[in-house]
Amino acid sequence: MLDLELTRRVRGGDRSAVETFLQRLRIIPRVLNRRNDRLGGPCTPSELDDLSQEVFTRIWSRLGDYRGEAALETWVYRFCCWTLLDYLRGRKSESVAGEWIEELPDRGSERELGAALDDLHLLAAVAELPAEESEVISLKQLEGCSFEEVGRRLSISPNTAKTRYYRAIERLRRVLGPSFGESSQ
Amino acid sequence: MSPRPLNPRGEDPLRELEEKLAACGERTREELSEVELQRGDAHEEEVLAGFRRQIARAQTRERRRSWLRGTLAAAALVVAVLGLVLSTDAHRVTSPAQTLGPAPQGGERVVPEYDEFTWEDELAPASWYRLEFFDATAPEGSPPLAVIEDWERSSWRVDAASAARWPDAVVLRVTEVDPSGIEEVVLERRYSRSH
Repeated sequence: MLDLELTRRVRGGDRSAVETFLQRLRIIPRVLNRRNDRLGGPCTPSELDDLSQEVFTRIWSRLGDYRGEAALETWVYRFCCWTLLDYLRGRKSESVAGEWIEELPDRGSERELGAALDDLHLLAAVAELPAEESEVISLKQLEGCSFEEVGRRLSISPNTAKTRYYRAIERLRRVLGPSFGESSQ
Repeated sequence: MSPRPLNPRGEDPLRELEEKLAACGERTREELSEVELQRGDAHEEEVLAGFRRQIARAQTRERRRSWLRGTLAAAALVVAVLGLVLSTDAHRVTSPAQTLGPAPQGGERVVPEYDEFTWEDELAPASWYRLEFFDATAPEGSPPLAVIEDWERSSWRVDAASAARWPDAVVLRVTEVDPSGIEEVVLERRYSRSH
């Protein structure tokens, strides 16, 4: 069953579709765990459990926005990053991130942590872009599609896909601000 | 067209962002394929059970909203018919209290002894509730006799020792607790002990 059809049936209350959908959402706690590990473990297991439920709440409330262009897992993945970052921001994540960096033994680990934070910021920012732009960036960069493939999946020409993509990149740059990426330099 | 401004490191910021996105995408794809292959465990089942509860609550809320819409439509119809009857003077109601008097939500039950409190079919299944028992004769704002948090079944049994200490009339208040923190009183019923 195609992912879009699956989400439509879930919204229609089809029990077997709901069960399939839930099995696909097993990745939520796994992604949160991995992301948390890569960030040096700022969240406790119980906080990660709460975050899993929060990710699900967000996904459920936005299920109608899913248009099926990106794989369901890619879409869910962005919600995981977005929710984790929101939570860390709420805990004054920047200063906490600074503390982790000081505790890390060598520059290699510091760079790794910086890259993990950059990824989190990037994926959260992509999730918050308007749907049309978020989709084109996800397909091009997160799923590794060519412009021809992006155009085919969005039913637009490759040139329109390219224009939309660069517009999205410009917006993303503005959203992230000029200091983005300095932690991983 | 003028060239794009470079950052202090002499790099094109958009090109740099694209490179970061590409690297992030590669890591994401790698991570996703790893987590998809990961074996599930008991803890994951608990997380999924939480998702199922959220779905059940959302469906309950939707059913309640539908029920409320239906009830409001029926009430509007009743009011319209009543208005028509009154305007034609066919059946004059002499005392408004006879037809519009307040009734306690959930009504009243007379029981020989406090034992098992049930409210099956009155509330939607698969929701989470807080049960509170109050002394029916105590003033408003008095603390409850008992509080049961996170209850999901449609009945609750009081132990005999506690029941013996309770007054002859109690009020059971059932509050649905939404995971987002929204609470709603869904049942308030008076129980009187007949002995």
